[in-house]
Amino acid sequence: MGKDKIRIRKIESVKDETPTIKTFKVFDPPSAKSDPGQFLMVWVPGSGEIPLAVSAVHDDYIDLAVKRRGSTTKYFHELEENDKLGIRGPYGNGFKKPTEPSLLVGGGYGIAPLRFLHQKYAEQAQIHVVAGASTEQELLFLAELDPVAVSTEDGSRGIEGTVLAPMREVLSEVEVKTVYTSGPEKMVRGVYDICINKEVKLEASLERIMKCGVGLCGSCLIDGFRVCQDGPVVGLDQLKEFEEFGVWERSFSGRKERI
Amino acid sequence: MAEKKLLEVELAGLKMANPLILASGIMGTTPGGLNRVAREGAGGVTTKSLGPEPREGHPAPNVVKVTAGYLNAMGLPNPGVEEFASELKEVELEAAVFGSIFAHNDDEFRRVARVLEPTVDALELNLSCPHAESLGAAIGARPPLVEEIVSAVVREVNIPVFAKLTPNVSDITEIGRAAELAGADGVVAINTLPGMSIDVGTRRPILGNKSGGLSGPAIHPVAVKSVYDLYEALSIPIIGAGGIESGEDLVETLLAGANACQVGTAIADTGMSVFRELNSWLADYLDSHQMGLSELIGAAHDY
Repeated sequence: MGKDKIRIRKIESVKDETPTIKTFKVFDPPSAKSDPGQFLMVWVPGSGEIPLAVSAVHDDYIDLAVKRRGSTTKYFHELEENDKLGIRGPYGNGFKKPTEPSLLVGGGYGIAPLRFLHQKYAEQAQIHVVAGASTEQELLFLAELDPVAVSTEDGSRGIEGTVLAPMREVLSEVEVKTVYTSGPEKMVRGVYDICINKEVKLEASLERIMKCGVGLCGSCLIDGFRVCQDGPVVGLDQLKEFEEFGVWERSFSGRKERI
Repeated sequence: MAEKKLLEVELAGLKMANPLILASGIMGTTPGGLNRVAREGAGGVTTKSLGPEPREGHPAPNVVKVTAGYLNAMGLPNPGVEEFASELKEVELEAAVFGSIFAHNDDEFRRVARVLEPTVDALELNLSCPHAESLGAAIGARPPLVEEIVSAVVREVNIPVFAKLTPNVSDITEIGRAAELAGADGVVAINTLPGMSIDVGTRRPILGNKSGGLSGPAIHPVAVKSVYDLYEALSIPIIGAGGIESGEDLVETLLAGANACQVGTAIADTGMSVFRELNSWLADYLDSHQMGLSELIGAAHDY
């Protein structure tokens, strides 16, 4: 049974990060030993189950950053200290350990797994960060990540627009061998295009609807690639082979829809 | 090359490179998923069950790991048969394609079958999903309804039609006979068994749908017995399914009387390499026992 068996955990503490994002601290040793970029399936009893990335680890405790988006995350945000969650995983492949000068490019709450990567490896490799969000208030983990550049869609802080412009700028100014990214797929696609153009390696975390987490149900497929088991972190060579990456996604019914 | 020839099968006129078929509901939600499994070595692939309208499926959790298997309650999510057929039309698949379909009644079944027919090699009628109200097993446990639906679809299309049977009846051969009588080209046995898992920490059923279908090693002996009984009762081909993970499981199901076998849940435990591994195990078995594949089928009935 191992990691697939649901572990019931009490919420240790809750912290408001932004108007739409809260961090839930939970005791869960198997997740605390996971690689940055792997994900958990988190059951919110009475509501639903969602895939979540670990955003930081403190000994045997993990941080889960949850953005209020749909019915399950709305319910999740109502939870308080001592309320229960069910956790299974960790699943999938995480980011490769950064050994050379690297740049983390994160958009919105997609920056969560990058923060864990930064926490784990910032002392071992030179890591720069570019962070973006919709507004200044929604910028996440600025204190921990100390980004060299930020962007907001409304221009309330940093460069107005997406993370792509500051990313290009940083790449032309400092030496970067590998880019690590996580965020909305359209943004990840933009990051990919820049990496191809600048001949920089890329480790990208993909996000798709996940129902089973164990590689069976097919809801997270990109072409024939199961994001839950074969990903969620993929390299440049794999991304090059995809036809649907950044263009098509699947709805809950499996319908192919333009991103 | 030797292995290739050794494993070839013909099922109701359908030629396959080997007797392994991807079971419905696994990876079959997209043409890309089906083709991936074909390239991983399956002789046939079955689509996710397609119905008359798009469905999002049941609320999550949709899957729970239990002892020796998985419980699932996906709830037949699918984009609707028109949408899926138009996607499938654009893709050349590298294995025999079984289109799995579900519907509420014979008219609907006929319509769904007609839409899917041009894009698949055979149809599989889902008369056995245990967790969808008034669909699947709700229909498939009643011989007169099975007869009505199978007969309607068989008259509608010109490709082989297989009926996937539910084991959740007192006598599966009764349902099998109804399908055969109605003109089915073959049967598939078995679909999942109904089950439930309750978390003791929160005292709640875990699945969003509360109950679901059990698959995996736990149901394998049920599948073997069902195939064995159907082999005695029917003269049409049988596709065995249920908890096949190892080469022994595969050969056991063939010995019980299956002409081919579906594999699904094993992908979670073994990975995508399961098709190649099972084929290679089967080829070695045939070689070391100096037998052809056809001699294996139903051989346990000699005793």
